[in-house]
Amino acid sequence: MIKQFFPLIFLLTFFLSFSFGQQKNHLHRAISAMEIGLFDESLKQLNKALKTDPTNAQIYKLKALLYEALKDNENAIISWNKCIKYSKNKDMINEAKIHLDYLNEF
Amino acid sequence: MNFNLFKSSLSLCTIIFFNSNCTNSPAINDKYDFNSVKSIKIDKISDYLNFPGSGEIMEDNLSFIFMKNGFNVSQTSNNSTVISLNEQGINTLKLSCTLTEYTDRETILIPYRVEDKGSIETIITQTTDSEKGTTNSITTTSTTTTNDGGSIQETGKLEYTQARVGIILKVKDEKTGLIVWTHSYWYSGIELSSTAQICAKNSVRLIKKLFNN
Repeated sequence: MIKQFFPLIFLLTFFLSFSFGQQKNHLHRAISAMEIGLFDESLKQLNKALKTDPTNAQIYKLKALLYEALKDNENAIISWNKCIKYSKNKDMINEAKIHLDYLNEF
Repeated sequence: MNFNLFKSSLSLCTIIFFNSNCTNSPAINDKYDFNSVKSIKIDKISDYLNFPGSGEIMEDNLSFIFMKNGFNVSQTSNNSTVISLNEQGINTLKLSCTLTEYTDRETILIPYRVEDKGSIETIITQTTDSEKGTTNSITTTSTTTTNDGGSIQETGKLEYTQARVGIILKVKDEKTGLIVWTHSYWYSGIELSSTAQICAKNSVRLIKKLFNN
């Protein structure tokens, strides 16, 4: 009796996504870029972070500050308005309103 | 002290108190004739605690913004700045400024979410058995699939620092000491220098309004 035993084991592991901690990484990169003055790169990273967490008011606030630093008042206004929309913090809403008052004036 | 002066100062202080708590607009003494003002002297601004030079930076910012707004700005021999308004005017105002905040080290925390979107793991096991004298063989294949649904958790915060400049401005009549206008304002930003400049810019914009009417 010829017994042939062919143990064929195919172990196929598909990790569809390795997004664990991706938002943290984008925020880390955004802050590092901002600290060395790469505001455009920082904005790119913040936009990536927002894909995972589109209602994070603090990210919109940082985006607005970066747009102000880049003298892009139009986008700064959009970001401050989104910050107000998603924030539950009174101080942050007040800060956004002060910035909007200034940006709408100039 | 003149009773009327005391009364008007008291009412102005009440206005300042309510204004500082309710709105962000300045307090103005409406009875004062701003058209009679000849010039504004800017008092020396004291440095903010632990930030040497901050007072001078704000003074320079104010002079710069006044000039940008078309005012004649001069410096006297004792280094005080004078803004000329109306040569026919008779009164002189004194503008004093107190820095309530001047920092580029305000810590802000950003909460972040760690999102685990899950995974699919598939194990395929195949075995083949063939018996003696037969040409057929039996192949057995089994597949095991494990689905991990993932989870979303809010797990931490990252921090960054921002700049914040705060000021209290006070304009008083040099002769009588009557406070005619006062305002408190703050602004935040990424860079300290531009934040201080915006603070000065907004203050000058509001002072300018007094003389446009």
